[in-house]
Amino acid sequence: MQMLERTHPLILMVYMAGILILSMLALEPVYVMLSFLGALVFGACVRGWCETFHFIRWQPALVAVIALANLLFSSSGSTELFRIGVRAFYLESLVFGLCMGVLLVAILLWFWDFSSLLTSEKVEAVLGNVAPVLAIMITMIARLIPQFVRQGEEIDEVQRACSAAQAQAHQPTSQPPFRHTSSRHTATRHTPSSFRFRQISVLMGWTLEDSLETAQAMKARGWGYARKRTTYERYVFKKSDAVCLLAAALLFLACGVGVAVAGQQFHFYPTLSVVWSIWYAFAAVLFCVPTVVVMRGRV
Amino acid sequence: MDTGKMDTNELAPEHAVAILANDYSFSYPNCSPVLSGLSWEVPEGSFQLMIGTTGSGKSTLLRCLQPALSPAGTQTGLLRVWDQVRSAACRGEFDPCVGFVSQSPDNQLVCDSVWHELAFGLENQGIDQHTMRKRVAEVAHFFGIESWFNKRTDQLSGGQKQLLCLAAVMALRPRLMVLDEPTAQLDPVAEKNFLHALFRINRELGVTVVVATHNPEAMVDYATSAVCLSDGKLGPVDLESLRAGVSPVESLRRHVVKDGPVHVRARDISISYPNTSTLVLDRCSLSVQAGSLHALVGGNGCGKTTLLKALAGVLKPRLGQVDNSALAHQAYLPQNPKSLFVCDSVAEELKEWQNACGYTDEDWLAWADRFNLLSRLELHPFDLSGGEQQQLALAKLLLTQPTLLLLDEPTKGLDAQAASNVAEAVLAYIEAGNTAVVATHDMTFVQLLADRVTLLFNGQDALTQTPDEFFADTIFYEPKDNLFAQMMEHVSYANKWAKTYK
Repeated sequence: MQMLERTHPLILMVYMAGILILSMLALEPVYVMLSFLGALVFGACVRGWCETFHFIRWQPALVAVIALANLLFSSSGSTELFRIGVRAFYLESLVFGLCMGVLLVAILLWFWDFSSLLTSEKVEAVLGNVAPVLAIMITMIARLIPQFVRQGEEIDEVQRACSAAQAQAHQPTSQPPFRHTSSRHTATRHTPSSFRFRQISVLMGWTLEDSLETAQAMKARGWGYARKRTTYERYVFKKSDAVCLLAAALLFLACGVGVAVAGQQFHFYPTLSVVWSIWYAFAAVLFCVPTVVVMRGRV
Repeated sequence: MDTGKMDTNELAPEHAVAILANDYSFSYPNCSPVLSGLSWEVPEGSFQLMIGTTGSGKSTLLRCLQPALSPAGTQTGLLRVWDQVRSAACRGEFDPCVGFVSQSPDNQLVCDSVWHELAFGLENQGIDQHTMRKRVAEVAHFFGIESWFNKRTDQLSGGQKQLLCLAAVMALRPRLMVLDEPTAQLDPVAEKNFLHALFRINRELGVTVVVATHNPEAMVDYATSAVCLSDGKLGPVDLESLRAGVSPVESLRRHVVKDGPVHVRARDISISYPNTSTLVLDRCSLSVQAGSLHALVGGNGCGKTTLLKALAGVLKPRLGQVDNSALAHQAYLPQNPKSLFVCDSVAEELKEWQNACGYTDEDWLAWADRFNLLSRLELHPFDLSGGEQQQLALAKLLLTQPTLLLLDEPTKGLDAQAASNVAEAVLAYIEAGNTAVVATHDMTFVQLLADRVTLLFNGQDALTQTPDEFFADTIFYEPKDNLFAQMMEHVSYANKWAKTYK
């Protein structure tokens, strides 16, 4: 885990992109299963079995829906499972649907796995060199969203806490407070929607006001001073990183060739034809590498 | 040739003037001049305090020093920072020689992580990688930021945020550091910490410092000179005269509430921070007597605000229970009054709850008059100064005639005048038999107004005493005989006089 966290974010991003692209291109049972298993074990490594189980517990339903839908709507194949009226349902069609479903789950899993490693900061570090302004926008948004949410909560709490303004209408103040509750004037109470609208308008005003101050602070630190902005590189791209990247690229190439070759030999319809070949080994390596790196870091 | 060189070297430190203003005037478009015929000389290496009432033009003057921030308007006369003249032509251009830090720690931060915040200004200047790393490492080391260098900025405390702002500006190597109320939003400990850092910049790195402040007594020990801005002109001030007085601060309450029915009670409540299991309050209890002002004191993050919100019934405790007999008749003044403002003008703001609460136009106009807001009725609430915003928010809440008032740092960041206005209104409110719970760092306020003080520490109510008992043997928690206290004394005389002769 630590090893992966310290890996240069560019390698992480490239590797994730490679895995996702290959998984999506290779729609055949062996690749899909390899990708799914790789994602599952990797997820367990970076997030723990419990959390991984929690994440995928509803996914079988998704797979079932896709598989059934394909079975119902596509009547291709040769191995007839059953027949309703004149309509035949085929095994190949079911398998195709299953593959689609599992592939979808695998891709979701890979995204979920990598999102624990690829923080917004790392994405920004990679983008920083290509698009400095985009990078600074991302970092500002990453700061503003939690602030926006916090301020929204604050406003909600403050408005709710000022109950005297919402409850007591035309009440003599000498009356003991706890007797008021039954005689509230409903007409003057805020309806929930206007209450929300009010909160949003406060939030907007407050945020805009704050952003003016932030803009001043940016100017005070020379925003727009140099014609070309530079980016502080937190992660140094070292020789070893270049070697890693090259190795990854070679692996992608091998897998790509494998997918192209296997893709010609494999077809779902009319009959499933899984031909075992050496090319699968490369894909297995590709999907295992993240797990192996994590495990090696633990030993 | 040699002697000439020696002469300039010897003379340079003596004659170097960081800021020079001569007959300098500034006015905003279509307004009367804010600064008129002002003369100012700040020697290089000095640490100067600038005092002046709210709206005296301190911020305007300070902003004119950094052309990137200077406001639009007409200026005459001379204003020079070292040898660079600040003319209308250079408005908008950034001068790396001048660093600027303002009040709000939150709004000054641009990036989501500490390291990026430090590098932000350097990136703007297009500085190369090596220099950038060196400067970031240097300031991180100087300010002791290494231990939180990898944190996200929203995980920092207010004091850390403000220190980060200072460090991020220092990374740009300014020769002059200009600060506009930099410690107004900080608690006393964070304030000291920040001032120490500022002091070190001044004395160790030789950076000239100019600080505008409402609270000069905390900074007197660090400063080398002080000036006062009034009527658009600067005049010298004796530093010693800015120190807090030595006479004891006396309570303004006519009779301290000792025993009475409990109005609000919290029993062994535990509350954790959102999305964590860390407890802010851990089996904390509190009893607030009817008709008393109960003060909550304690360090930053000790749970004062959390307890107030729990008493108000907007935060549900995980354990324990809160009994609040005024749950439908309370008002809550948050730390930032902006979260209370909904309308486009001060007048509308004061009228907002008129239908719901049934107060008359005379009522709200009286409050506007009392807080000197009559000339401001047409302004947007956000265009008021911090002190005026606080008074507007308090007026708005008091108009609803709550029986329980919950105040979160009511005097934070206010000048003495605004603070005494707020305190006076709260005093009158309590004396009328209402109840208030106040979370505050302002010990003077506590001594002047409170019936009881509860010290929150380590998530619990460590002790509850009367202010006299509480302040009997404290060394740090101490009421100060400052301008605010002195103003309140006059208030109390005026009150007594009014009562006697009515």
